[in-house]
Amino acid sequence: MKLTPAQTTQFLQKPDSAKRVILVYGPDAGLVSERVKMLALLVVPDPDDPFRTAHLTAAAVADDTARLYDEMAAQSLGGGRRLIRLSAAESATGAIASLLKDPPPTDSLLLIEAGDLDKKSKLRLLCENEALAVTIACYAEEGAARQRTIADILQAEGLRIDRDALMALADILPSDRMAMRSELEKLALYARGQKEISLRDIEAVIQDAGAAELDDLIYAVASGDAARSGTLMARLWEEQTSPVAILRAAQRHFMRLAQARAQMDEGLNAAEAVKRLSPPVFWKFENAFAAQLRRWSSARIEAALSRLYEAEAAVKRTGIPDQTLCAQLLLRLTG
Amino acid sequence: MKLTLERAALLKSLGHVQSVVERRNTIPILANVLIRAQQNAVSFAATDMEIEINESVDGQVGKPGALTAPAHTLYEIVRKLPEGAQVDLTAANSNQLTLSSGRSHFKLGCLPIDDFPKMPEGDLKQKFTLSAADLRTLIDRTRFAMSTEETRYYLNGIYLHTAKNKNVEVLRAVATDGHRLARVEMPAPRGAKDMPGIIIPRKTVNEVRKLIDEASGDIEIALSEAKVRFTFDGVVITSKLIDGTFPDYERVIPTGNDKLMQVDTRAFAAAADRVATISSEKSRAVKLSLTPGHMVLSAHSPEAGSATEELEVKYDGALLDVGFNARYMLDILQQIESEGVSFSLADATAPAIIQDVADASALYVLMPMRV
Repeated sequence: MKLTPAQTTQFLQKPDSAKRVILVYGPDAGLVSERVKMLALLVVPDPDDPFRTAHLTAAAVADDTARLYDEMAAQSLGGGRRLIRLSAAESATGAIASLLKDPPPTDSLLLIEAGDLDKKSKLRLLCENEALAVTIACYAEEGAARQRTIADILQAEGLRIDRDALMALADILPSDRMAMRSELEKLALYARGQKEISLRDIEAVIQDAGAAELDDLIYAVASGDAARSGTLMARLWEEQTSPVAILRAAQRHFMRLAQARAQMDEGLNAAEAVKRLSPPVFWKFENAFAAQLRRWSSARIEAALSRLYEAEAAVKRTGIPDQTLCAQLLLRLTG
Repeated sequence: MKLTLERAALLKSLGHVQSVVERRNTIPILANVLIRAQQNAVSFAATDMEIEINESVDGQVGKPGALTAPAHTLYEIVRKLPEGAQVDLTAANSNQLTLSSGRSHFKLGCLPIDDFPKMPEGDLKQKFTLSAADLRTLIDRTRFAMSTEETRYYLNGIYLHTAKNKNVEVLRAVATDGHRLARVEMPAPRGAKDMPGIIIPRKTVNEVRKLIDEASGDIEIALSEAKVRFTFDGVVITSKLIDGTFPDYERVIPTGNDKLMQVDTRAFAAAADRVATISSEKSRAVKLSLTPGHMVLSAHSPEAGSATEELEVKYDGALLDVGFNARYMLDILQQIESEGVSFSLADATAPAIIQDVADASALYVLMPMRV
């Protein structure tokens, strides 16, 4: 079943317990993550409780046909309802279809977190058409809806905002919900003790220079400009940017490249593929993005993504020279 | 550097250290083994930055020196040399290693020894000794239950700590993946009292277990909150620990299970394995239907069909149907050495406690499945 935006709001407050599978997907990865977290908290008080939740990858489910069913049929070791989280990929669709056909007699919930799935996605179609499943689409808000969300987040922090400041904020804030929320939390912290946010507060706190530099670096890497990548990286290290933030930004960029490249593989040219992306590529970067699409094949993008994920896991381990590792990988990707 | 070693001794040491070296390395020096030759002793060291292994063996050292060479390549070469061969390792400088044995000659590129990372010594204050057999027991009885879910990094190892059991200080190893839990304990050795609870990572557990397979003496264990070191038979393994909090596992060990069932371990395992053949495609669930003195194991799959098998058991409780994941149950049954295994049950939705009837030191908790 496909939820409309209005139904989504209602469902997020009071999910229908008859639904056994919830697919949260969309181009706004931050909003997907936020909604998954909200839904998880409605099932288990502590989503990290290992005795009540399981995190599965699509690869694990695809490799082992019984795994998903067994996780859904298992009772919780500590008592209570179980939550099974799945990082989605189309490869798990078969296992999910078989689960929906004959679900085990438990109240476990399968919560699937996915990226942007197009209308032909088998996983999306399956969940839209099955009575026991729901899909929640997460698109970046625009216009009045975006302004309302910003005002709501600030109101929750006990802050009002005037119209001019609100419009400025809506322009300047990143479209990704998590990134937006984090900027607003920073702003609220800065304005603690005040009742209202002014334009001056926004100018003082919301700096997009760091983000712009990060974007520049990722564009330099994907465009194969090793010299510029080196310079920008050195600057980011000086600003204490974490290697994880850089690797995540690179992952997001390569995921967007993968989406556009898939469109090219289906016959579109690079410029058309760029236009199809949502949220749109910033106009200044359109040509550079199209050039990158011609430079990267789908297979190479996939390989790059897999190395970026490996690198993120590696830099999170203690004692690893994280900056060196991150720099080495990015420079290798420029080659 | 110039030294000569017997192939078997070299292969054994290289086999030990190369297993720590990851197949794919982002940092080139981590693919190398550090060989240090000095006064009739040769040491081999390898690291992946989380674990460091150092092994010393006797050898004829013609000229002392040190170098680093690709671990896997070196191991493969030595493995393919004929048994009983003498192997000469020489290096005129630190850039190239020459390996000669009979008519075979190899030249391998080296990396500077200064690049080889050294794990800071740290202060491993807590020290105690365990027999190799005891350490094997602690590992063998628990490691099958370690989680492999990367997101649950704090479950990706064995939790080693001390606790009180009926006023006796015990050393306890615990592992869980959220579905089953394994706990084994033994009287705490001198020196272990008040040790910090540590989570030994899966890779370290497996490496240590491999290396102590043939050990018969004592294993010295030294630890702090951040590291652990095992020393025995010329081998020193130092490992970082998992920086996380092991969950409060005691809360999932039931205390009021009043239905006791005992069964022949091997007969039960074999029957469960046979019956599970039917269910493995869609689910690994097997159902245990208990009546006094009798158990029926069954599995059902809409596609594959159904299976049942009957067993005699010692049980005098009420009728009870309970399902378990066959793989998890078999993993536990494999740890039971005596002829009898006991299941303490409450109902079809509560965790079961499984124990060896002849050995109360190990306890396993298994969660039922709905069948």
